[in-house]
Amino acid sequence: MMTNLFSVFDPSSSLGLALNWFSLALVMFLIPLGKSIGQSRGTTVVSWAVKKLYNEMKVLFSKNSNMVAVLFSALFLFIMINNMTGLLPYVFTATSHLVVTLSLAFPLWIGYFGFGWVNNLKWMLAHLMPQGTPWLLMPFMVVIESVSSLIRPSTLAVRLMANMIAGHLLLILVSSSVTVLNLMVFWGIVLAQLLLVILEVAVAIIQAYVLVILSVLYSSEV
Amino acid sequence: MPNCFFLFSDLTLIMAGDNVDPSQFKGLSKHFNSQTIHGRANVTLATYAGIATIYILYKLRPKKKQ
Repeated sequence: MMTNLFSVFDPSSSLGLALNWFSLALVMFLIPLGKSIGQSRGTTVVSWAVKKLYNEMKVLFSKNSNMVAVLFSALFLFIMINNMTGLLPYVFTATSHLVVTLSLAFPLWIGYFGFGWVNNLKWMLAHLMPQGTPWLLMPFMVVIESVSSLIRPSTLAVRLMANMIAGHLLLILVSSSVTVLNLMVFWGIVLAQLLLVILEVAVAIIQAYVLVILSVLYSSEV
Repeated sequence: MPNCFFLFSDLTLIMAGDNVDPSQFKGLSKHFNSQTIHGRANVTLATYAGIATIYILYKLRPKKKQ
């Protein structure tokens, strides 16, 4: 029952258990296992996308630690599949909740933030002031960079959450105006919703990519 | 302290300012500048010290008697 506009995001379940969070585990069933010698069409597409992302990320990592990029590739796949499955009817969108997005962003940030400040104090202090800053701007840049460093996990989490919520909300709002008698308006609404779904598929992939690339950039500053 | 530079490529080192010759700086700018890592770290520390000083002075200021 739709009690308000945001009730579609409510994490509820009818069996007394919060089974809606099981949608996070759907990733395990959707990623191709790759046990066969040859690649299937699905495996080819997934491996092509992951290889593209890996090639972009490995520029920032040295040859000895390329495997770190595999972690971020896995994160990209996880977020993208969760975003895409949320677009299916009646499937719970886990990444539209701050508890999920913050659980992904905050440990990443606290990991390299804590590691950087403990092991590389001078580097971290130096990084708070961009190279070539004029004298007059130096104190302000330190303050601005400090604040931007501290709010990074929240920006990562809220960006993903807000994009997922906005897309679904727009679809709900457009669909709520379907009860019209005019056939032309009806087909116009259906077309608008089709375009919105196509947009949401793109947003699902792009937001996963943005979160991962920003995490890689933040970790490269350590 | 373990050197973490092995994790990242030369690109990040160049971006951080390791390719600047520190001998070009004289006097106070040798320790406070926006080019070398040493200078930038000192500027950051000085900014934090300045903010802490202003805060402490504000808290310790004499209160006006009513």
